[in-house]
Amino acid sequence: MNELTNQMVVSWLTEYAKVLEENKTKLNELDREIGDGDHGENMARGFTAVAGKVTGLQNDDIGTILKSTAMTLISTVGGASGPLYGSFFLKAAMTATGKQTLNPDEVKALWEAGLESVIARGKASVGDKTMVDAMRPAVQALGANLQRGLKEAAGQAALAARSGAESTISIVAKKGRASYLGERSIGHMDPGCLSTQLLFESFYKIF
Amino acid sequence: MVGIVLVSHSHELAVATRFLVQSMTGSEVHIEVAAGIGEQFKELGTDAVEISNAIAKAAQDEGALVLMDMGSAILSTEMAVDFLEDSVRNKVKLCPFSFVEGAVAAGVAAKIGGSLNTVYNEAKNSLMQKENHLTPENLSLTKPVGISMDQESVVLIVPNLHGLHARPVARFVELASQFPGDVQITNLTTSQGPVSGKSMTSVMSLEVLKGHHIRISAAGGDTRGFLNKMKEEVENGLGDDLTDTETQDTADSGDADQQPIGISRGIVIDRVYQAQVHESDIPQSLAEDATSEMAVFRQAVAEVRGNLKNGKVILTPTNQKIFLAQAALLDDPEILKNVESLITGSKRNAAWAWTEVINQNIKMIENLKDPNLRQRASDLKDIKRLVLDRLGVKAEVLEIPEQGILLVDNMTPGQVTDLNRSKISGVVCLGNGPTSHSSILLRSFGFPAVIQAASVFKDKNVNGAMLIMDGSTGELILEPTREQLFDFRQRQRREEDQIRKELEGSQKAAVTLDGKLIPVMANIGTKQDALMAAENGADGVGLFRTEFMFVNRENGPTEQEQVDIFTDILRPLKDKPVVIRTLDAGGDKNIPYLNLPNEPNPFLGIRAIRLCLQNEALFQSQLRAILRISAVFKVEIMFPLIATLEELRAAKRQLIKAHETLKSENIAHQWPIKTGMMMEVPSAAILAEEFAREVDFFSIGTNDLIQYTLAADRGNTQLQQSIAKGIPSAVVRLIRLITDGAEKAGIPVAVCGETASHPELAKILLDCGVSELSMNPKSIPEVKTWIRSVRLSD
Repeated sequence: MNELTNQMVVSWLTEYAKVLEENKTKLNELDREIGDGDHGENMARGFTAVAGKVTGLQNDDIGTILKSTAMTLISTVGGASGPLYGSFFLKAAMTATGKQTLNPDEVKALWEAGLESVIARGKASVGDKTMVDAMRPAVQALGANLQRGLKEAAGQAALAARSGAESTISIVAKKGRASYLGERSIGHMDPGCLSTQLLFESFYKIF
Repeated sequence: MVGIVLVSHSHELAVATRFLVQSMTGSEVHIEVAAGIGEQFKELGTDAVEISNAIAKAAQDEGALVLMDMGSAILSTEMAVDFLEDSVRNKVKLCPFSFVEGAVAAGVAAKIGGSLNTVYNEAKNSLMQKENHLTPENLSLTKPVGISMDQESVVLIVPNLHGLHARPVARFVELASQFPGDVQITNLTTSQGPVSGKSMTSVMSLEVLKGHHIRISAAGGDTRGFLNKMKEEVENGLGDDLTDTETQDTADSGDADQQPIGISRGIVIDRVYQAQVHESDIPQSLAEDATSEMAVFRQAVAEVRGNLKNGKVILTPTNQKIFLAQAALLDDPEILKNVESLITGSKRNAAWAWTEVINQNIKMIENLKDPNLRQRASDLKDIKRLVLDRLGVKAEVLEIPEQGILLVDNMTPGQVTDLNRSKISGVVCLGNGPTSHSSILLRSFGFPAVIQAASVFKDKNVNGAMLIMDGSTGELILEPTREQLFDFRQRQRREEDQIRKELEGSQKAAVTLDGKLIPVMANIGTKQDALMAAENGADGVGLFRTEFMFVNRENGPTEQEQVDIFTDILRPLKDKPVVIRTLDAGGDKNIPYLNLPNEPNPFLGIRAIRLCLQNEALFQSQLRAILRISAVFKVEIMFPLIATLEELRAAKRQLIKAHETLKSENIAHQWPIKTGMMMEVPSAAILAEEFAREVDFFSIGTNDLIQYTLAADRGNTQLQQSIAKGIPSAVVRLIRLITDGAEKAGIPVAVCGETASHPELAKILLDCGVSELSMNPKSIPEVKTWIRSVRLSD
């Protein structure tokens, strides 16, 4: 099936919440090295709340599901991930208003809208050692592989997210709390990248 | 009173800070707290929805200043601002300064009734006290980056009656920009600034009025010399006449004393609506390569700036000083810096980045108190459109909510071509000169139009009101009586009958009452023009403009390309004579592939025929293309802007060369081919007798001939009154020289300027001995009908 349905979206978000809970400690550790140590905590809490909310929205349009996700994140995720992932889901929601299913092009548009809003909100570019380093290549890979079918495209996106995340290990952080560490931020993956990688991996699992 | 919002990761910190502030100011100062998340806000973090609600509450009265601790508190606040209603958002400012010190300073300023700007500035300066106390010997801690220890300043009182309005600001910025180091200006009276003295919008934002004290600071150069000069300039009014009691910038939307002029025939009885500018969606894509995106942007800005400075932009009827002010806006370092950071930092494409920055500035200017300064928002809108146009993005489309007549201040040519023909029955402009490009387009698209209508609509809010307009006479009747409606409906019916008869008659040749056949030809440039020409009974083409094939492209068109384009366009006019004019493009920058050098005066420089003579390969390709299609169509060729016999002879030599190369390649073409020249330069008109011996025909470009003879710009409304009425007598005399010279050599004279389409003016031309008229296709039926009603010997 080469489309994204509302139920698949709910599965994605529920899966992601589970994955975050499983990786909570790892995320916290990464964040401790170059931040304030609570990224795992924040994301798990936020998405657990999201999972609880969206389970009841299985039959709603995708826009509603994503918007609800955004608003939940904003109120429950304390750090920068709140507004950043919040913006992502909010802008993504706007591309899917009233739609119960999305065709591949619409899926691409959804991810692109989300990516643009993350960049606009956080004002980060590729190479600043932020979640954008994982998200941008992933969205590009998704778009480039669309004609192979959504499942394949999602798979490629997840792979690209992972290599994007890994690329941040050896670079200096230029944004966020980590940037206060300057050169000491080298040698550690950006935690936002890992949570983004997990986001794409969860997305792949629903196909 | 301005409210304050405290946004922090820590609820306790925010509450404690509020307590601290109110211990100094009392609780009348409205302070909202949006801090912490989760149960009882005990967790560290921020919630954009909470923040948004807090801001809405605090801003209810006179707006709010929002202070944030750091990091995600800022992101959440920015998101919260997006959630606000527009009316609230406009009175909210985010404070980039320290949390506690800023809150205290802001609170005190708010308590004593400070405006939002004042409160903001007080927060800005809040760290100074602490610094001065702890590090008195190192005062540069809070100084803006770039100002060094050798900074000097001078305090002055502004004498101008209307304060620093657009013209003096432009002059100020012009002077400041010449100083190599940093220049800052502060309005001490309103505590605004310091801002960069080289940025026009920044200086305007200070809203300096008469009697205000300003401080000008400079560092990094001959500061004393510069400041002395500025002192002198400011005290002398920065270009304003200080004895004048009424120095105002001229409004863009037309002088209320000017009478409306009908410029495009048609009686319309319909509801009139104020034009709504519909912002086309700017593609919000990310730039692949920020460096090349920046280069594209800079190129676009440079082109627009160049066009504004040499007066090539026929956009709105404004006087020269306003054009310079617009060009200065393009030099504004703050604007350029902000665009640059959006492109290189946020990776936005150039159009998106530019739109965002310029919209912010427009909003800021529109919120200024001084109406003269607010007017400058329309300058910003103009340059916004110009730059977007250069970047290949259509900016603003004019629309109305219902079917009706469009009422607008001014229009750009691009906006005319985008008008929705099925919705808009007529156009009324408050400004615009009769021969400006937009007006010509309105006529050729057949929109009934009246311009210079400011006097009729002054101070009136007309949305949806009934309007009668007559595009021939310029009559405008708002909210007509029943009698007037009846009267005009009759006139309208008669006019419609007239038009129908004209169209029917247009396919036949037009002969005067005394038997003289006057060919009525079309001026064309596009396929659509050619179709309209055929439909409207053109007897041929008196002017085929070829510039479009060469401009706004990466490289020149090949010979084959040109042949294909000609063939395609001329198909509807197969058996009619067609005069093709060789390239008449200006020496400005829309032919990048020719790498033309910079000229101080491109209008009077290497353009048109001179350009072709200096670029032989280009000229040959065009001449060969024209000769090749002469095998299929009845083509004649004409050279533009000929001023000397040498130029004409050189051009003819080039034509012969093209013929010879085609002949050697056995490519069919007509030879000899009828070769003529444009008569638009006074020197050629004066020597018409000599020129007539060397060409097969003349074609008078009346617009340019009038321009060059009277040294006046046709797009300039300030000048319209003296040159718009008929054909100036000096030019009539030149026309007689042209026709006399032509008669002696036995060659015909045509007119291809807009005057040919106005019956009263055409009469003058025909009486001088002009034998052929060429005009925009829409006017042909009307002119033919008129010709059939005149006697030339009158």
